[in-house]
Amino acid sequence: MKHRVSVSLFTILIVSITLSVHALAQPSDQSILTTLLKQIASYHYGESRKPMIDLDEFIRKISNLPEERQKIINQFQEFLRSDATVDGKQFICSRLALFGSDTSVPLFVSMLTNDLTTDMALSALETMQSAKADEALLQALPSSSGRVTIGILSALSNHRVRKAIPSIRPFLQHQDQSIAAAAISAIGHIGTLVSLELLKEFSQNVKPEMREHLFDAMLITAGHLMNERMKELSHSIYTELSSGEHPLPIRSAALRGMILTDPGIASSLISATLKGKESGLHSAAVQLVRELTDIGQIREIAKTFPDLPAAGQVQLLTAFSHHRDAEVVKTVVGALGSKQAEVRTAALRTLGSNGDASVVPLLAAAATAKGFEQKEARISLVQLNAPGVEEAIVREMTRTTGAVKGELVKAVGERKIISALPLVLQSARDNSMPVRIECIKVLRSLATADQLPPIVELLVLSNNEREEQELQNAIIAIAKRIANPAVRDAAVLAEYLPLKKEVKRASFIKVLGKIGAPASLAPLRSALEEKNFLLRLAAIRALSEWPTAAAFADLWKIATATKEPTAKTLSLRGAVALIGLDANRTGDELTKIYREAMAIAPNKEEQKYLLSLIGQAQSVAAFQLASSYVKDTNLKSEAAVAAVAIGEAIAGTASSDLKAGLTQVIASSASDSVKNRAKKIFKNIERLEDHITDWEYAGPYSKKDASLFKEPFAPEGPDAAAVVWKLFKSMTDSSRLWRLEFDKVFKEDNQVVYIRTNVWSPMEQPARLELGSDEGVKAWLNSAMVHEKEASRTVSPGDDIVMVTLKQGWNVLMMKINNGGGSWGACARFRLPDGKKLDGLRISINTN
Amino acid sequence: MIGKSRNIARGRRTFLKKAAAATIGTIGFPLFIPSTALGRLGAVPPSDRIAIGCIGVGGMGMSNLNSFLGKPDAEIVAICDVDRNHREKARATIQEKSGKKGCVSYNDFRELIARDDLEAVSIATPDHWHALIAIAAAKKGLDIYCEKPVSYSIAEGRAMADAVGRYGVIFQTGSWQRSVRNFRYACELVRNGRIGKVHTVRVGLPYGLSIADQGGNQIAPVPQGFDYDLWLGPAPFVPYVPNRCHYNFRWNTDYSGGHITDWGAHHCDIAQWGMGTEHTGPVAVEGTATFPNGEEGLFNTPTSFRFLCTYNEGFTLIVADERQQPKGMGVQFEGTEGWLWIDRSGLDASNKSVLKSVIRSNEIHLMKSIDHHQNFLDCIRTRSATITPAELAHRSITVCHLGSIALRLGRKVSWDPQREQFVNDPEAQRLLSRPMRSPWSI
Repeated sequence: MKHRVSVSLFTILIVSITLSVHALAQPSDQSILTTLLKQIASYHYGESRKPMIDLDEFIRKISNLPEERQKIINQFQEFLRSDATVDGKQFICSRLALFGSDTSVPLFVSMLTNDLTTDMALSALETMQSAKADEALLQALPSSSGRVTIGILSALSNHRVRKAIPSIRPFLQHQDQSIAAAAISAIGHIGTLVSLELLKEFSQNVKPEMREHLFDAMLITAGHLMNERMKELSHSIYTELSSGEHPLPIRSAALRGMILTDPGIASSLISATLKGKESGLHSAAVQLVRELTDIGQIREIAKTFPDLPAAGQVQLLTAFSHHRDAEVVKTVVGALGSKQAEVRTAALRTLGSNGDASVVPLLAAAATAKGFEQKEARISLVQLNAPGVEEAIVREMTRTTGAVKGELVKAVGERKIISALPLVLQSARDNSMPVRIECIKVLRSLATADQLPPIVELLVLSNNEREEQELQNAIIAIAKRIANPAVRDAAVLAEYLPLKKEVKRASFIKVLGKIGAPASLAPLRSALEEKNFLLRLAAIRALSEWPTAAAFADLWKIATATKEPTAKTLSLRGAVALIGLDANRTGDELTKIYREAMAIAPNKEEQKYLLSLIGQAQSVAAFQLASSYVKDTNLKSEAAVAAVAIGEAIAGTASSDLKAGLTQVIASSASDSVKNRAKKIFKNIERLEDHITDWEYAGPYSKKDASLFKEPFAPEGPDAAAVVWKLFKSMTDSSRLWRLEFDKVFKEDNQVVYIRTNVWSPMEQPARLELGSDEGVKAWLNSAMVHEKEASRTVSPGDDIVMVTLKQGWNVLMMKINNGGGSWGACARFRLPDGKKLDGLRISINTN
Repeated sequence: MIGKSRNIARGRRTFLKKAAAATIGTIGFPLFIPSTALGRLGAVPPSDRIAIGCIGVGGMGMSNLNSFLGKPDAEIVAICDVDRNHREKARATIQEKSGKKGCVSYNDFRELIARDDLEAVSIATPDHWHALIAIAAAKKGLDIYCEKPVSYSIAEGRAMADAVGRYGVIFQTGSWQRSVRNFRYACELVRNGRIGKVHTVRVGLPYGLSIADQGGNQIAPVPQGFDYDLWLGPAPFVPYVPNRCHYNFRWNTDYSGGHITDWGAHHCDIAQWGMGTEHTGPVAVEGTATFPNGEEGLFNTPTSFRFLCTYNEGFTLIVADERQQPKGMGVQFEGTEGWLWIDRSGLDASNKSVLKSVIRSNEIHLMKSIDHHQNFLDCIRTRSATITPAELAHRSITVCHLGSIALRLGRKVSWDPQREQFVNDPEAQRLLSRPMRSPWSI
């Protein structure tokens, strides 16, 4: 396949090109083009395509300069006549085909006869879409063979070259089936009256294996004739193709064509097909029903409905979904009486799409059924969209009772019929509990503050547990929708404060707690002092769900003081649930509370529960607290799980502090899963100990028109002490935890970032600093620059090795990494000068 | 190529358009076909299962195969792939998941579609094969699930949509975002004016090329069991290079259009859906792109790009790589009353209350599908249009193809969406199609 060019021949080509072009836009352009063509002339697949990419860019640049284009066309033609490689020619040929002119046609024709250039020449001539190119293809057809013939036939077909029909004709009977099929297809795609005559003639002697190609060609021809306003002729072709001896796909297509060419026969044809015995055509007929627009025809077709089998009825009902018409709806309603469940279900579904207000009672009644029919009826009752539907739903609510009324109320809620709310509120006092429940649910989703007082009154009056729960949920939801938090509890407090009945007061306390409005805090605190134990418990529960940490002290006080187990348990749980809501509390303070909570917990079960919470904390202190219980026989499982969970969360930032605890977990846990997780953390820690993962960052910085690598930004300037440093945590790739991923955090290009950390050395000692960076890096140790490397590279550990001296105590390492675009990262670690592990160092962003 | 079918298409589309108007973007709820209510309320007997042949069972092909295997009303009866490794993996999966042994496998799709027991095919080949196979399947009366991007070129898409219409087969495109609640909801919010009149739509697609190393960029012997010539099919002949084929075909214009078509088939489709321009397209497209430097000798689709599509409907669609869009990946609709952004990671709006907005019964509801593959099966049974039929998918991917053409030419192109032709631009017109390597043709 490779055709290398001799130097002498290519020199001739370049000279020729240079001489043939008088001048391009600029001398430099000519030089660029010459260089690119020289490179492409020796191109072989697998080599760099850069010259091609550059040439495309060059072409784009001169695309609006007609004179320059013509000059390039001339050069490309010269190139194709040269001894350039076939691979190079293929590229140039494809570009010449796109912007070349008819002057290139003879060249392409000459290339057809060379096996090495046939494909590219065929492609070029077809691409050009010009009369001259088509003429050239036509001329080449008789003497062509094999794949070339097929290619030419395909091009003539795609361009609908009408005068090509006589030349194509001999190929219809070609012994090579691929050529014959291409010829038949071409005749069909050209699609003229002459095509039709030829195809009809051909059909008299068509070989069986060519029949499908013939029928497809006839369908395509019929389509062309239809669009050229020869509908009757087209219709006759479709009619002929619809007859029984043709394959089913052809007959289905013909059925469509018959209706397209004579829409007036749609109903009779589709009805006859649906009634016919040829089940294979039923689906095609049903599909056509969906696409019809003449409602008179739909009505006619609907008359066949009773005669269809169940599967056909389901399909037809689906097709009816698109047709809103009273007569059609009657048919659909009639289907509700079918003995077949799938037909009834399909009818209910269809009514949701094409029904009107009159079907509301039917759907409401059907919605009280069970299973699929209920589901479809409910959906349809919601989807139903026609004038007067919502009025009908409300009207029916006043006329019906029981389950049917309940379904209508449900529809009011789903459809969000706000105007029906007064009626819904009234019906919330209905005799039927299911109706009342449904009304309360609707109120819960739709009611506003104005409707809250009567709903709260319902809670006072209710004496049914289920109903009371629904009312509580409704009141809470409505209250929380009130924009001003300060007044959310007003309506509830107004009823609560004078309440005497203790059971009812407990119910209100629960509601007040969940609303969590500030004004309720004092009454709830008062409830903690109630004599009635159940009221006190209700108050503890309510405060446990308080939206702020304001109730923490109240609950903590009870938890530490009471000896009553239930109250202690609930208040302790409530208190620890609230501590996380105090954003000002430090991790150590949180752990201190957890530690005390563990101490006062009334039993092991509560301690297990607390450990599960501790496991969600992310601090070394919490880890140490959890791991301190791994030796407790009763708590070791929960403690190990908690410790591992914390370890996984913080291993990247507090690695060395976890090893002792993890060792204990691995030694004492009975769970292989937990052990493996702990070992995995341990392994990661060992990897992380060498590469520094505790970093702070400053920036990123940028400066227009400056060399960012060289520019001294604040951290390396005189005001470095004023720089604000922040914790850097983005090392998300678990397989490369050593890599700092700046590109995950900073999205802009052309920036620099500074990072720093502290390294504690037990003594003054020589060390080597191993660095990797994307892109360039500068490094300072104790304010002295120790390394500078301007580079464009990806992060690779140890790319740069710098010998340094660590002083005894804390050393400050700072690095600067710049980025022009794309990936951006860094890594660093200290080793002994010989590259071995350097023990005794500690890394921390804090030196205290 | 486009010329031969244009007139046919116009006549048929006029007919279909009326029907489509009833189902797409209708006031009120359009048809939603739950799979449990299609005349098969209980278990599906084997004889009633839809027999599917899967053509192309590599990455996405296996994903589709697994989805169909999980449907009680579908049965995979045959598979096809030009790579023996893919065939064997697919057969093993079918045996493992369905317990069915000996699923017939083919190297050549023509043998598969010649079977007389098939009702549908799933096509998940590289893009340059989609039209050829889909048209051949349509001629056999087979319903078609075809991966996105639906076409390699505008002309092939038009020919495919015409063939699907001519034979009346059911067609579902793998632009499955339409079957995700959030995407539908976002489009319904836009269609119902929740962000006012939309003047700009931004589509963010991936930056760069996601090249997966399949064995290097150097010419190599064709592996045993891989029918490379059939893999190339209608594309120009070039020597075998491992990284040319599986997955990476996306980054070479001989077979695909890069991220612009690969992801554009998803997000530009959502843009078209949200704007209700599913039966039309832009009238002008222009933009700029950066192409790979070509040093590895293989990939040439844009790495960075930005193009503007002007619509006669009064808005501009800006398609760009994620680095050139304010919110990165996804689709952002910008209207007179705020913006709405949708991506696979979530839904956002300038006015958060919009995200809680309820689409009322009397507003515009889009077709509902909650399972893309099931929607295909359901529509086969009811003979209804799927949520992503060929005609609409063709229009969506045309936006991407137009962008690629404008970027390739490096200048503005004018487009007539009614005639599906460039306006007074013979050079662009030549890029509507790519001649197929003989003997392949459609």
